[in-house]
Amino acid sequence: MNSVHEKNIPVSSQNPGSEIRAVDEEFQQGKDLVSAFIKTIKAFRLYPADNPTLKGIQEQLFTRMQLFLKIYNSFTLEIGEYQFSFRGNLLYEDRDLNGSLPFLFFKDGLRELRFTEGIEEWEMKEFNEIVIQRNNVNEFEDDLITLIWEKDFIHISHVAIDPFTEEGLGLIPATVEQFRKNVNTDPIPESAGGDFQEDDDGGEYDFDQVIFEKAKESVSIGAAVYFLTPAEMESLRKEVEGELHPNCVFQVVDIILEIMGLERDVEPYQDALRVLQKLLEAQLETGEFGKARDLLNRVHIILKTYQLADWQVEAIRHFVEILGDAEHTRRLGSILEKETELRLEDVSAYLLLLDPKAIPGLIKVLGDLGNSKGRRMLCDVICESAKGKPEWIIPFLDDPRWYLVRNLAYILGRIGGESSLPHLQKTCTHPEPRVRREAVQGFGFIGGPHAATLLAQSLKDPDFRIRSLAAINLARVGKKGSLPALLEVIQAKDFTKRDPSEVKAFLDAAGSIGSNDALRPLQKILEQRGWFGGGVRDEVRLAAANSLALIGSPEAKAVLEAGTHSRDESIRGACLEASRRLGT
Amino acid sequence: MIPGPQEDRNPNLSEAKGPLLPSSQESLPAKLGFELIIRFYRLLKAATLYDRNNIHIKRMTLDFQQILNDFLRAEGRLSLKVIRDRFFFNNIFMPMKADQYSILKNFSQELAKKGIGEVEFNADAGEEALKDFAFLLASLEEKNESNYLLVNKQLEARGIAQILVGKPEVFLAQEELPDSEDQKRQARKTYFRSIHLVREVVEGVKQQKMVNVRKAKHLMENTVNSIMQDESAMLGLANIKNYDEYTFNHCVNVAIYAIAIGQRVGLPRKLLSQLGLAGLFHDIGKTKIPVEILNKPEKLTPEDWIVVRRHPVFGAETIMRIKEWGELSARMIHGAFDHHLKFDLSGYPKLSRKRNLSLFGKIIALADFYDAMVRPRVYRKFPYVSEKILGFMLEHAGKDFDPILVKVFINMVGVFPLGTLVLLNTNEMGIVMKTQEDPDFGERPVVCLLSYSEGEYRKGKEIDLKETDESTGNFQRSIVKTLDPNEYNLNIAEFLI
Repeated sequence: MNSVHEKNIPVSSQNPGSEIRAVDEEFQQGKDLVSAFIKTIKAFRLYPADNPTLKGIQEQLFTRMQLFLKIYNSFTLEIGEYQFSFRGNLLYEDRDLNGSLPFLFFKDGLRELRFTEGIEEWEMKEFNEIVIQRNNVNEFEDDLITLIWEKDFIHISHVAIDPFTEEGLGLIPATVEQFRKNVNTDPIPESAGGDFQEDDDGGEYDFDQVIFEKAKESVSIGAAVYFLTPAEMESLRKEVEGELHPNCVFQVVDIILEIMGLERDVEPYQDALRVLQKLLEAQLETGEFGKARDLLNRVHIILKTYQLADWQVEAIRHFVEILGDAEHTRRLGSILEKETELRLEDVSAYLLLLDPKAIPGLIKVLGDLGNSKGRRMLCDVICESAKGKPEWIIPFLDDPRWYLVRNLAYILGRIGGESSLPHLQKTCTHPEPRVRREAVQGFGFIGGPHAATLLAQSLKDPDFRIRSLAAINLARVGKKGSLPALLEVIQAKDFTKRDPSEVKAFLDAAGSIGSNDALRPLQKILEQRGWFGGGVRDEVRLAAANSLALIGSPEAKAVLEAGTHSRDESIRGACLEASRRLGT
Repeated sequence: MIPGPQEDRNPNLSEAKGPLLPSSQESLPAKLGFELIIRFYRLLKAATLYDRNNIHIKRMTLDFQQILNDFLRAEGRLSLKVIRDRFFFNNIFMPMKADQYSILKNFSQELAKKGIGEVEFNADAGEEALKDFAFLLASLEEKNESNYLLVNKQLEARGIAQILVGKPEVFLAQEELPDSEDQKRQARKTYFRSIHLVREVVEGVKQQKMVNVRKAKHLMENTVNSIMQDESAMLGLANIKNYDEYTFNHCVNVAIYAIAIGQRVGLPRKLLSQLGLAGLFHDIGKTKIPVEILNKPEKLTPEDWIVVRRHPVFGAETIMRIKEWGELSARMIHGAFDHHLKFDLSGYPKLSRKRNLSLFGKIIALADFYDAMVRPRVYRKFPYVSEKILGFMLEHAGKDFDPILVKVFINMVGVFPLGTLVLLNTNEMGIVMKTQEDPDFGERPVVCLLSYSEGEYRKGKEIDLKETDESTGNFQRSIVKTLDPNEYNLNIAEFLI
C-alpha cells in the first residue's frame, strides 16, 4: 500500500511540527478505522448475524468511530475505483474485483462517505448490513446508493454520481420556446381525461354537467378543512403504521384473488397464481400460517363457487398440488423445526387444505421433525387427509426409523378401517415394541373379526405390555368369541407368575366379557393354594376376584360370596374387596 | 450547551416524522409547540419584510412573547432543537401533524439554512430583546456554519443573556441545501426525465423488454429529494398537462402529487419513493387497451368505456409480470388496481369481497382524479377552476375519496393551488407561484403578475399577497376570483417551468 499522506498537510508557520504530528495522527486513526471497517465486513461474511464474535467486532468499530468523531467531528472517506482515501491520501487498496470493497462502492456510483459526530450504533450497524446486503441484491433492482438513501441516516451522508443522470437530458427543454415545441396540441383523448364513473351503466359520468352546476354555486372551502381532528390524526397514524409493517405487502393477496375471479386469459391467470404462490410461500416463511390458511381457503372457495373454465380449474388444482410437493413440504418441515412459537391449530388448518398428494411429503416431515407437539399435530393432519387412503402410508412402513413407523401405525389404525389391517399386521412383527404396541392399539380401533384374530396373535407377543394391551383390546373387539384365546393364556401353567400388570390385564379382559365360561378358571386362580399355604400372590387373587365381579352374573357373585367366608385370609380379603367394589 | 434529546433515536424514528399524537395526555410541546413555532416563524418572516418599527413587527413580537412566557412559566426554560425536520422542546420530541407539515418544514429549513440548530430561552427577555433576536436571525447570511457563534456574540454584546443559540447537530451538506434556482433546475430535470422514463418503461413493456428498475428508483429518489426540499417547485411543474404524450405527462404529475401527500401523512422516504413509482405506473394497464380506443378523440361509447375500465386489472397484471420490481411489486399493484375503486368501493373493478383500500391506492386515486380534472378537454364546455374541483372533492369525501386524505390534499395545494390564474382587486391578473405555509394566509399566496405586450402575456414581478400597506395596515392586493387560462389562451406551465 502506498502511503502518501504527507503530501497535503497544511503547515502552520507558528508550529509546523505539531500540526504535522496532528495530521499524521488523524490519518493514522482514519487508517485504523478503515481497517476496522474492512475487518467488520469480513466478519459479516464469516459469521451468522447473532454470533458474539461478530457483535464484538461491530462494537469495536463503533467505539473506534465514536472516538475518531469526538476528536475530529467528521470522517470523510473518499472512494476511488480500487481504493479508499482520506484527504487525498491512500488509506486502503484492493484490486480484487470479487471482494474489493472500494470497487463495490465505486461501481454503484459512490464517491464519498461522510460520518459525522453523534453517529449512533444502529446507523453503523445498518450501514454494515447494507454493504453485506449489496452482494445479494439483483443488479437490476437495487444498488448501494438506493439502499443508503432509503435508510435516511442522520449521521452518514454520501456523495455519488448517478449513472443514469445524463440519460434523457436532451429532452429537457431549456427555454419556453423549446418547451412549446413539444407541447401536444392534439385534442386530449377522452380516455386520458379522467373517468369518474358514478353508476353501473358502463357509461361515462357527466362530470362537465356536475361541475357546471357547481360553478353556479359559490364554493366555500372553510378553514376547518386545513385542520385534522385528533381522531383523524390517530386514524392516519394507524394507517401509516400499517404501511410500515412488513406484512403490509400481503394485502395484495386480495387483489390477486380478485384477478382470479375477473381474468379470463390464460397467461395473466397463470401469472396471478405464480404471485399468489410466492406470497403464500412468504407467509409460511414468516410463520403466518393463519394468513396462509385464509389464502388457501379462499382459493378453495373460488374453485367451488366461481364459474370457471376447465383450464382455470386445472390451473388452480395444479397450484394447490404444487404447495404440497416435495420441495414445499420439505420447507414446511424446516419452518416447523425452526419456529417454536407457531400456533399449531393454524398450521394444522393450513395443512388440511393441501392436496392429498402432499401426504408423502408430510410423512417425510413427520420422520424428520424433532418437535413432539409438531409430530402429534402432523399425525392428526395425516389421519384426516389420508382417511380411507392407507395406500399413501404403506410405502413408508419399511422406513428404518422405528418412531416414524410407530406414528404410521398410529395413523393406519385410525384411517383405513379393515383395509389397513394387512399393513398394520406387518408392523406387528417390528423389532421395536413401541411400534407393535401402536399396531395393537390400531387393531383395537379398527375392530372386527379380522382385527380380533390379529389381536389374539398378539397375545403371544414377547413383550408383556403389548400382550396386556392386546388382551384388553381383544376383549373389547372380539367380545365372547375372544374368551377362549384369553382363557388359554390364563390357564397356562406359568400365568399367575407373570408380571402382575399382565395378569391383571388378562383377568380384567376375561371378566369384562361377562361370560360364565370364565368362572371356573377364575375361581381356580382365586382359590389356588400352594404347598405350605403359599398359593398365588395376594394381588393375583384380588385380580381374579375383581374379574369375577366384572362378570357380575349371579354365579360369579355366588363364588365371591363363598370366598368371603373362606378360612384363608387372603381369599377372604380379595373377595370382600371385590364385593365391596361390586356394591354388595 | 444542552444535552441531547431524550428520544431513542432508533431507525424507526425516521419513520416517525409523521402525524404522531401523544397517546393519552398531550404534553406541553404537543399542545403549545406548534403555536409557538408558528408565532416565532411569523416574526422571523416579518423581520425580513418590515422594518423594526412596523406595527406588524410589534404585534408579532407580542404574540410570540406571550406564548413564550406561557412556556417559560410552565417549564422554567425553553429549548427548541431541530434535528433534520424533527422538533424537540426541552429535549422532548414534538410530534408533527399532517396539517402542520408545511410550516414546520419551512421553519426547519429556514433555520438550517441559517446554520442554527437550537434556540434556548432562559427567561423572559422582553419585547425589545425578542425583536433584536428576530432581526439578528433574519439578517444572517445563509450556509454559514459559524452563524451560531455570531448570534451569541451579538446577543452578548447587547446584554441579552436570556437567549442562546446552538449549531445544528448535523450540518447539511451544501448540496442538500441548494438555493431556490438550483432546486427549480433540479426539479425541472427530474420532471422531464420522469416523462422520458415512463415512455421508456411503457415501450419496454409493450416490447417485453427488461425494465431498468434501478434507474426508475434513482429518478424517484431525486423526485422525493426535490419534493422534500421544496415541494412548490415540483407541484408547480405538475401544471404541465400537455407535454409530449398526455398519459406520460399525467403519470408524472400523479407521482408528484402522491409523493407530496405521502410526505404530509408521514411516510418515510423509502415508501415515498415506492409511492412515487406506484403513481408513475398507475396507468400502465392502458398499454393493453387498443390504441384506437385509447387515442379516440371523440366521445367514447359505453362499450369503449368497458374496455378502458379494464386497465386497473391489466395494470396489476402487467406489474406482476415485471420481475425486476421485486418487493416493490405489491405496492405498485395496489396503485394500479385500486385507483378507480373509490373510497366506498363503488368504482371499478367490481370486487367480489369487501376490503379496506390501501393507503397507496387512496392517495393515487386522489392525485389521479385531481390531475385529470384540472386539464382542459375538448368536450369540456365549462372552465375547470381548481376551487370547484376541490369543492367537488370535499363534497365527495367519504364516498369517493378518503375524507382525511382530501383534507390533507387541500391543505397541501391550498385554496389557490400553484398555477391558478387569478384576478386581483387591482384589476391585475396573476398566476399563483407559491402557496403560504401558514393556513391563516391560505388565501394570500405569492402571485406573479402578468403583463400583456406584443400579443402575449408575460411574466411580471412576484407579489406576496400578505403584504400590507404601511400606512393603513390593509392588504395591498387580494384575489377577487379565479380565471380559466383557456379563455386567455394561456398555457400556465410556461410560467412555471
